[in-house]
Amino acid sequence: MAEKGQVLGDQWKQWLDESAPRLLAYARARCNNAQEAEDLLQDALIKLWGYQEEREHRPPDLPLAFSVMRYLGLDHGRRKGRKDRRDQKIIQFQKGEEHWLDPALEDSEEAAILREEVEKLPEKLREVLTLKIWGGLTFAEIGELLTISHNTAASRYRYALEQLQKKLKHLKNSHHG
Amino acid sequence: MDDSLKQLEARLKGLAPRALGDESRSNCHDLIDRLVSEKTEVSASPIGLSWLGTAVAASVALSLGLGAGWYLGNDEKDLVAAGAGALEESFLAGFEELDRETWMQGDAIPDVYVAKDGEVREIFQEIEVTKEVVRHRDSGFVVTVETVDHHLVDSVKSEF
Repeated sequence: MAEKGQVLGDQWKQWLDESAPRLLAYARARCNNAQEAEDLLQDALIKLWGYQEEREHRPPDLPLAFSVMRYLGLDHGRRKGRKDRRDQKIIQFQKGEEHWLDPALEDSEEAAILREEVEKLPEKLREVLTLKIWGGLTFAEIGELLTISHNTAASRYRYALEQLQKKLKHLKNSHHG
Repeated sequence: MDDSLKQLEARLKGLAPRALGDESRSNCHDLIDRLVSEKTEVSASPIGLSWLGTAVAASVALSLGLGAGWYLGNDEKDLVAAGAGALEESFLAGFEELDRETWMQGDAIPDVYVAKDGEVREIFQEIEVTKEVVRHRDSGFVVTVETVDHHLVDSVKSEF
């Protein structure tokens, strides 16, 4: 029994190590700071463990994990209040030290600007972009998760890319001008 | 999607999300170990109760006690309460229920997803709030206890 538990524990740890950066990126897009995002991830782990009981506690599918995180994030947001969240987000972005994309991997000034602009995107666009680029979900999965059509998910994604492109062009022009 | 957007997409993919910090990773692994050991203990226990099970049973005992006139011991549910020990029973006997109200909060819209086996399922969260007013028999103190339970409801989607 203990051996079986050990195997199960190792499976979950491996799943966590593989999925954590994606889940954390999504959590960071919903929370005010890194600590809250990590708390959200731990809450999700507990929920997912309980939820997977009927599936012999196998590690969950990624879309389900995102779904649970989304509900916990919504609940968290409701508790704290939207205004409070908005205000804190502005402070967070101004501080500029708690980025949820890894600045160590940026090899150019443009990458740094891109990261900052992603963080400034409206929540709806950033959520779809995060789920698609770093969550690895399909538009159909994103649509199911956010209860929108896959066409809407694709449109929001495209719109997010266009917004980023515009910002980059604008910044480039202002640098050269 | 034109080439410039595709290039932008590729550049974004190059911005890797930040991994869990060492401390957070260690906390999550400890949490997994705890969850696994709880499961193992529950499975191994002859009466199917771990400390967590006992705590849950104590909560059930409290709920049953408050809701059913402090009577423990006759039906199947009470087997769980009896397993929690006589301590909770004597503790509960010290209180008298004055009022109890339960309601559901929120209007959850289900998320639909497809499980690995191809089954279409829906998931949503229910928030159950219970408010209990009890009086300690000896001291006369009145206590209001409000508990919030989050239930993750997952079921096969039957209507489209």
